[in-house]
Amino acid sequence: MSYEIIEKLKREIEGYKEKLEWQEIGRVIEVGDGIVKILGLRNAVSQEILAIETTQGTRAALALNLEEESIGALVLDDFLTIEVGDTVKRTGQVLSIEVGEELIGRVVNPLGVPLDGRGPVFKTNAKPQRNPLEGHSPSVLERESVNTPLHTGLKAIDSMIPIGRGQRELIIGDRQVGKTALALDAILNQLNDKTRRTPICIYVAIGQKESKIVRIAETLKKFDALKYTIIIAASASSPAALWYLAPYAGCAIGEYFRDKGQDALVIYDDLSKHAWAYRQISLLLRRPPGREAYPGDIFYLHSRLLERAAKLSKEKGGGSLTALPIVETQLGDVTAYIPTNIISITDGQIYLESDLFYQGLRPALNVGISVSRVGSTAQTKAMKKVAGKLRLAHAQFRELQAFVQFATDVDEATKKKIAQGQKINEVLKQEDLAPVPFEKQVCVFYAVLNNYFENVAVEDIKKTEYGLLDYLAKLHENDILKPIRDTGDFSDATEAKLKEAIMRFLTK
Amino acid sequence: MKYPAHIYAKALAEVIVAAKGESGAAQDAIVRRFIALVRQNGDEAHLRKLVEEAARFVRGKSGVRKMTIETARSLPATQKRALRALTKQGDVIEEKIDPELVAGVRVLINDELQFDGSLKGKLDKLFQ
Repeated sequence: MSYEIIEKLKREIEGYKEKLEWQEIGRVIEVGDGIVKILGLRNAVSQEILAIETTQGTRAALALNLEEESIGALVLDDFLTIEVGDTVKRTGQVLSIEVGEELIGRVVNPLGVPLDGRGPVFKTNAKPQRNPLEGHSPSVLERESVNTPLHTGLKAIDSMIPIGRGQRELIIGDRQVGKTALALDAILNQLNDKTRRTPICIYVAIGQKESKIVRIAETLKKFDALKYTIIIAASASSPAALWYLAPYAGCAIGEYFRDKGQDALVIYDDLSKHAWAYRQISLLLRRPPGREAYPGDIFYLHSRLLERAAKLSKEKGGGSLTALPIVETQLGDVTAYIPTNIISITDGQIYLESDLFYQGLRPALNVGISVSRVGSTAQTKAMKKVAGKLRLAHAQFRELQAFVQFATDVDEATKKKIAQGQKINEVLKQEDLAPVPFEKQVCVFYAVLNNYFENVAVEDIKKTEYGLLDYLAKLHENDILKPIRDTGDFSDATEAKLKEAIMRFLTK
Repeated sequence: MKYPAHIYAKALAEVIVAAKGESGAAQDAIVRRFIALVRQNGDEAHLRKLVEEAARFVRGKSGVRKMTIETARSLPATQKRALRALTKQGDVIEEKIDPELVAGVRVLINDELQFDGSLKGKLDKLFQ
C-alpha cells in the first residue's frame, strides 16, 4: 500500500513543471464578520477572486473596495481561520459559476457547490462553461418585445396580470400571504403548458430557512417539476456573502439557457433579504450609509440584476429570461425604500394583501394595484377575448359592494351584478399547488362572465367549476380544450361547442 | 485609535522626509514629539504598526526598496554575497530564518512582490 502511494507521489513529482516567477502579494491587516482588509496587491481589479493563504488552507475572497492603500474583500469561505498577517495572492479571475444542463434538478449554493448530497454536479474531466456572476445585460438591439406568455396556472394572474417570457414581474406582500406559493405554482404549471417550450426554472432562496428550502425541493420532486428546476440555496445560516451572491448566481445560470435559445424563469426569493445582506456588507466595508442605512448603490444592485432578464431577438437565438423577484413588505407598506425601488425597476407587480388572505381569497391578490405593464401583448387571443372584461367587471363589483353596504334597498340589476361579482371572486380562488392550464381557465371564465352560473349558488360555484372542468376534460378534450391549447385562439366554432357543452353540463 | 494608522504614518513620513539633512538632535526631537502625540491619544499599543507603515511611506517617497530574504537556515557567506549582489545600492535588506520553508529561498520586495523558490512553496503547489 505504502509502495503504491510512493509510486503515485513519484509520478506526480515527475509530471510537475514549475515556472518560477515574481508574484504580487498582499497581507491581511484586518479581519471581521466576513470582511478582510488587505494591504498590497495594487493591481487587483474589482470583483477579482483573491486567495488568502491561511494555516488551514487557501480561502477565497472577493475584492470589492479598491482603496488608495488597501483592498476591502468579502470572504467567500470560512473567515474564522483567517488571521492578520496571512498572505494574499491574486488569481486573475473574476467571480463566475460553472453552468450547464447538468445543473438541472440539483440544489447548489451560489458558488455552484452541490448541497443535495448527490455528488459533484459535473464529471471530473468535464470542462463546463463558466458564466460571470456580474454579466452584462443584453443591449437594445439584441432584444425584442415580450411576445410569448408564461402561464402561471393562477386564474387571477393569467387573466388580469399576464406575464410574458422575458418580463420582470414583482411579487410583493407581507409575510405569510402566499408569495412563495404563487412562485411555486408558476413553476409547477410549466408542465401544463405543453404547446410551448418548457422553461428551465431557477428558484433562488435568499436567507430562507433550510426547512423551507427542503420543503420546496420535496414539493417540486413530488410534482415531477424538479426535472426542469434548479435550486440555488443561500440559507439563513449561510454568510451574508452568499446571500449577496445568490441572485447573481441564479441569473448567470439563467443566462446560460437564455443564450442557448431556451427559456428560463428565475425566482428571487426574496430581494429584501438580499438588500439586508448588501447593507451589512457595505457597512462592514465602511461605505457611507444612506437612507435606512442602505448604501448609495442599492438601486443599482437590483437594477443591474433585473436588467439581465430579457427576451432575445431571433438573431440572438430567441431565448428568454423571465424574472419573478419577491419582496416582503412590513405591514403592507409598499412605499418603503426597497419595495419602491424594485417596483420602479420591474415591468409590473403582483400585490398580495394579508386582509384578503384572511378573508379567504387565495391567492390574496389585490387587483386594484397589481399591474403587468408588458404582459398583455403576450397574452393568448383566447384569454384576451374571454377575460378582457374581467378586470372591469371585478372593479365594478368591488365598487358596488362597498356602496351596497350603506344602501337600504338595492335594485334588481345591482343585485345581479353583485351576485356575479361574488361568483367571479369564487372562481378566482384557487388552492395551493393546483395550477389550472390556461385552456381550462378560458372555459371557466367564459362560463362565469357570460352568466352561465346565474342559477348556481355562490357556495356551489367551486364544486360546479371543478365539475365543469372535469366534464370538459373527459368529453371535450379534442373538440374544445385541444384547439384552444394548440392555437391559443378561441374561434367562433369552439365557442359554439363550449356553449353547448356548458348548457349540457348544467342541465345534467 | 483616535486616527487611522495610515494618517499617523503619512504624517510621520512627511515630517521625516522634510527633515532630511537636518541635525541628529532635530530628528530626535521629531521622533520624541511623535511618540508624545501617540501617547497623548492613547494609541501607543499600535506604535510598532505605525512605525512600519511610516517606513513604508518613506520608502515609497524616496524610491528605496525593502528586500526581505527568507531562508530555512542561516546561509554561508558565499551565498549571502551572491544574494546581495542582486540588490541595488540603498536597498534595505532584512534577513529572516524560517525553518518552515524546509529549503530554498523566498525573496520579498516591499512586502508586495514575492519570489518563492522555497521547497515549501513547491510542495504547496504540488498538493494543491
